[in-house]
Amino acid sequence: MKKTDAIAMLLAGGQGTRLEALTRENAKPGVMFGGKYRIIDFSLSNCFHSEIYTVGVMTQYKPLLLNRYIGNGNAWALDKVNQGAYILPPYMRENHAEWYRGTADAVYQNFEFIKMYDPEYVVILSGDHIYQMNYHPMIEAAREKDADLMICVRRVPWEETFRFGIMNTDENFKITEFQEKPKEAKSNLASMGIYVFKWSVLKEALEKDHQNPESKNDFGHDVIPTLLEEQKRLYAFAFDGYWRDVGTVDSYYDANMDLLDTREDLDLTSDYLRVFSNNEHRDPHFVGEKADVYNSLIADGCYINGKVSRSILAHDVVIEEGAVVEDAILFGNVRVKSGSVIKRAIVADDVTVKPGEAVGNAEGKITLHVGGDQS
Amino acid sequence: MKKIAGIIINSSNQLDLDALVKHRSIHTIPIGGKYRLIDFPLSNLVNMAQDLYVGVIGSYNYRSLVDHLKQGQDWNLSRKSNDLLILQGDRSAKIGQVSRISIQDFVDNREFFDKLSDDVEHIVLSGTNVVSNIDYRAILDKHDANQADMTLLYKENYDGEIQNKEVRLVVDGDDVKEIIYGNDKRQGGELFIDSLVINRTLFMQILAEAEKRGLVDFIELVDQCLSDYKVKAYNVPGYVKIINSIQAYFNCSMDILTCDTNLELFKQERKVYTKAKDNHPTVYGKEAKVKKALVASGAIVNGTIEESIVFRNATIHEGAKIKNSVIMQGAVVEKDAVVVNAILDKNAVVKQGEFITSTTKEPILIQKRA
Repeated sequence: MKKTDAIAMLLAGGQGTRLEALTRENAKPGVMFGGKYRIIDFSLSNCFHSEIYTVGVMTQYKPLLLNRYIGNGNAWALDKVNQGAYILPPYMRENHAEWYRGTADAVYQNFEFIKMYDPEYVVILSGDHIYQMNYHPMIEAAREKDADLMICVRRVPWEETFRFGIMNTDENFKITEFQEKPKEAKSNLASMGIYVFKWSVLKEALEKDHQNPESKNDFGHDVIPTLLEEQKRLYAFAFDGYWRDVGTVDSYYDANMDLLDTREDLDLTSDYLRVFSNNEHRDPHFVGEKADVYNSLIADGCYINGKVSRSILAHDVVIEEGAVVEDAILFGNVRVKSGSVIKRAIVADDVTVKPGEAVGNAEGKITLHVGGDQS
Repeated sequence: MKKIAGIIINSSNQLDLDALVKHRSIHTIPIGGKYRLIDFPLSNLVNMAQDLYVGVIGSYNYRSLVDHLKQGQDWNLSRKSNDLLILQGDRSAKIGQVSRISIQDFVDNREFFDKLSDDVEHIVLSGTNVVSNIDYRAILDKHDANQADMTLLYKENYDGEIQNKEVRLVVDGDDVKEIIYGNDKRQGGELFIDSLVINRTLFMQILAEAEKRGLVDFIELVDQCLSDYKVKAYNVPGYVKIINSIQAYFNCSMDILTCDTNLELFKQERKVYTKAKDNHPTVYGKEAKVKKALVASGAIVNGTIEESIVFRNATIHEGAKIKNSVIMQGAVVEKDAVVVNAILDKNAVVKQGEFITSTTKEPILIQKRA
């Protein structure tokens, strides 16, 4: 086979416990976003736009929905000859079997897959970030600087540096020090969990990491600090576009609401770096005579006859006459009965909000409503 | 189970569709926010049977048809087993023949029909401009129960636009008594909707016979052998409209905006499929005011819309007012423009402050832009 320039390995095994009930039946990358997308659409679409057509998707936690959704990657136009999206679950060896123990271990366990392509670079991605990015310039920069590892970073407010893995660099963006969630940061360049590795370097590093019984087999926690100790050539690549880790209910809610503002750094309507998704057949939505809809995103198949403002409605949602939905995210097939009010809430799939019921509060924590006896 | 061959025939006589078919084949006239006309007959066929060969007879202007159908994956047709074939068509119209169901179109595709194996028992012919969610399974069952050679589909008391070019059937119960077509001036009869079920062996015989006799119209031949075969009629229940003119197109669009018709066409177990597109959900801006509208994904709405259909990727700017209209994909209505009783074809632009208004009896068509 022709030598491949770069392939991507996409980490999609996370349980996402901080998204609470939203990940009860579904891995985090498979959670709905923006009314019609799933979180993983962003990374997969980025791969297409970066001309990376081979994407290994490592799944582990409740992967069935995600596996079915991704298929062979044709929805993201990745299904070229001998390329595409490939689901990579943990598998059994001759004499043992184990789960993915950490991000680095997940990639290590799929070395055989990477060897089939023998790429020059391996791009490590997370399936739970919201951002639109072309990875190509980052790979080019890695080549130019002869970097062993290029880490994508973004500037975060200084007061938030304690939440991130912080990279300290010299004037050429060569990484000199790595601080994991520091109390006193020396820079505000935070790692985004996007890595471009030289395949030869990745191979050696992960083999070493695998031999180390002390290691937690995590890129940020183990592999990167070791590479720094070994004085490998690590560089930072700055990304100044929109990027969000939607790991908590609040950050998930905020990122969705960002879609309702007109902003240049996150524009789903633009053709540039357009986000693709695995579309299902649904009819256009219907707005009834008693409806009032504004500043919202509405997916196909909905029927709206109530008031909807600053909200995101996924497919086949029904809003009856006299119902009010404000600052809310409604998942697929939610039914909002007449006279009910939803404010600042996320309502999970298939939930029916009963007539006259009130969900959510105008202030305070975002309400996560999973319906009936389950809540 | 026996296989079925479904053929979507080309509709001749498209003159009254005017500019809607100027740059596209009749099959691909956009309708209902995200569909094309052919999506209705094609989905009906697909919903009828798993084991299905589909042939779509193209028209002279077939680029848009190929672009829309590709290999048929979006209609559940597999590309490996050659489920879908686009057939050549429309030669008869070019040589000045006018027919309801063109025999020339079948003769030109002889190979397709010859290749159908013995396990194909029935052939279903379906008109391309019939907007209806038809349960062909029930029709096939009825066809078999009647032990019919042929079952012609009609709509009782059709209340849509008629142009006196349509074929009408005089029926008595399940039986077809007479066929009225061509220059026949007789009144009465029920509207034949250009669709029928026929046994394959008979179809092949008829084809050979028609060729021998030099007949042009399949219907003419059916009429001539009405007494020789068991020809039955089937009244299609529910919503059925033939799109044969701009007015008919406009009326049908307004029908789709009524709740009953909408539910009947789109919310059945039998889905209407169409080509998938990567559109964002519909964006409603802060100034949007929308009542009684069908709006597709990919549209951006920031104006006032009433009783209208808005297609994928259409943009309605702030202050624009739209009423009783069809805004096709990619069309743009700029700031403060007014559009009433109009059809904006694909990519049409209504400039800032411009007024496009007409009456429901005479909807105005703003032509497609490349």
